[in-house]
Amino acid sequence: MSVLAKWRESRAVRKFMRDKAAIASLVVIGAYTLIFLWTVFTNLDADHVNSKKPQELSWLQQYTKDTGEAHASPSGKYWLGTDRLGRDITKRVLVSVNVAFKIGLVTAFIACFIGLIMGGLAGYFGGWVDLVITWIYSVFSSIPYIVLLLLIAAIFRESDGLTGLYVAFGVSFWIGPARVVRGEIMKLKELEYVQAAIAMGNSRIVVLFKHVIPNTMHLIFVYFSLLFIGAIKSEVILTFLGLGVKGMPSWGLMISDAKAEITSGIWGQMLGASLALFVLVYAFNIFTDALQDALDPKHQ
Amino acid sequence: MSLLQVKDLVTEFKTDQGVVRALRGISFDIKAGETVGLVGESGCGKSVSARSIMRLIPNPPGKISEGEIIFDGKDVLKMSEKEMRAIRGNKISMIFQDPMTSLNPVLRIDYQLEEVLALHQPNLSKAERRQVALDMMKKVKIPSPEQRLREYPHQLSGGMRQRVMIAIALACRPTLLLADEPTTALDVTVQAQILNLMAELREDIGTAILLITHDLGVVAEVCDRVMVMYLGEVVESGPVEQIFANPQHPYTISLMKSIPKITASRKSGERLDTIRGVVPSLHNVPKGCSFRERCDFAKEVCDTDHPELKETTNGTCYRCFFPQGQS
Repeated sequence: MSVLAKWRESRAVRKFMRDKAAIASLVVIGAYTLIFLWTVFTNLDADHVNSKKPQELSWLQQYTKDTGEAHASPSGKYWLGTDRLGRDITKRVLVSVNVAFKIGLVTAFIACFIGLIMGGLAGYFGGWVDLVITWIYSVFSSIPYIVLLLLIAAIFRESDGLTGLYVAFGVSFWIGPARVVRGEIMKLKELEYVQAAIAMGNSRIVVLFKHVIPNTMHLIFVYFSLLFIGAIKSEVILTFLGLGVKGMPSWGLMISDAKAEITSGIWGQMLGASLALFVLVYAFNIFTDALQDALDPKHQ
Repeated sequence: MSLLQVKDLVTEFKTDQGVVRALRGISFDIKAGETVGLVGESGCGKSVSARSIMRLIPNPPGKISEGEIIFDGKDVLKMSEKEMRAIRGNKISMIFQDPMTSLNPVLRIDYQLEEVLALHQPNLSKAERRQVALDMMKKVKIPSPEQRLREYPHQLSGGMRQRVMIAIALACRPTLLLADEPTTALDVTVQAQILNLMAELREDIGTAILLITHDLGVVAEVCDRVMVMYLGEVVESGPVEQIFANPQHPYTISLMKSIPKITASRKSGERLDTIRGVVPSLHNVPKGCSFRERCDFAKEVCDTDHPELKETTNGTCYRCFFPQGQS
């Protein structure tokens, strides 16, 4: 059987496919992913001006340039209208997918990676390794979230849009996976195949990485999905507070701008950004639950 | 010269209620190629003995505190961890009780089988390793071995998984195999197949086997010698025919009597023989003979004095002041 055929036949995939809502969520996520890839390949994420020809606008700026019709109402021409600088809202909503996905992917990846290593070492070795690591994450999780982010935003205020956010989220989001991985590993290390692996002559650390950690991957996949949207949602909040993305369009930025417009009855930007955000987050939530059901070994 | 000599081995564990000595000074020999059974109730120290030999006792809370384990002329307890790793899986192998959990569920069979080869025979090329893996699968009589190699543990039955475990254990042709209740989790027909397999492999590869079990029937089938353990001590040992024909220690005698017999009459009212009382806790080891409370033949001296292991002329030994065998 080919690898693809075997994968299709596997229990997890079959279970997932039986859930209609799960498939719908996958389609939605796929659509967003295509938009993301489009923004990457058309360089819509480069907001910098071409330094050799400063008069020339970047492709992004051209794509969302001032149409001269500030605050136009939604119509056939501009589906959601334009913002106060005359930029087409619909286009900006689409381009924001870029920032959303970048934040989501990088953060989830960094946090899951650090969480896996830290949780793995703490759970497997116990003793003072565990003490040190749990002390670290207890301290981190006790610092008020906003204070931590303020601190990091201040450190990174000179650099371009996203690095500060990556660091801020990476540093606070790894704790969730670490806790869960630690617990799972404390359970797994007592199982016989771990003993058997040591009995055949492997060193303990090799056993941790070759045998034990692969058995926690189902948890990591679920966490990855959760942190992806956690990061996107957090970005919205941070940008709202003025600490987030600068220089690139993002839903957080749009919602933040829109809060002034709403009082004048202009709803295009608020609706567009909120709806785009909501649909993605909702799809991911459904996806995460379905993923968890499919990967749960107890539902054999 | 014996392959393995265990002398006065003491293994202890720190618990909330104090230090517990799971092994209270056991000694035994295993000669090259022989199959020795180790029997006893749950908790008597059988598994701890095997794990002590492999130095698999987790260091907090356990510790091998006294004694010597001489394997192939060298004291295992004095070896570095690196030297130990070279022995585990290679010269001494172990198979475990539950085949359902002894294999890693997310790794393929060929990976797990080749792992031990990659560890101990690095000079083999990938193709050679694959060939050895295939040969081992055939030796343990797994049908369609090429296909099975590419499968995952959950696709195999319990009996097949145990065969794979045996294949992994014997892949590097160890001189000693520690089998910790290898058939307990299997149904009776599969049990018989596995025991036959082990007997054949013993002929083929010449491995000595320490077979830990609580099933005396298995011992009678397969073993050359047997040791009976109780509360962390060896209480009787000797050639299988001798021990079964003429057990000396009251505990051994009771064990033999408590085996359900297929020829027993089915009159109503006929009950199974049991041993009265319970095994004392290791936290409160009784003074004198540890079997005192449950023994029908104990006298005053059994309360105060701890019997030593006494050897007899026909190669058996027992730990009792008043052995009950026929002389």
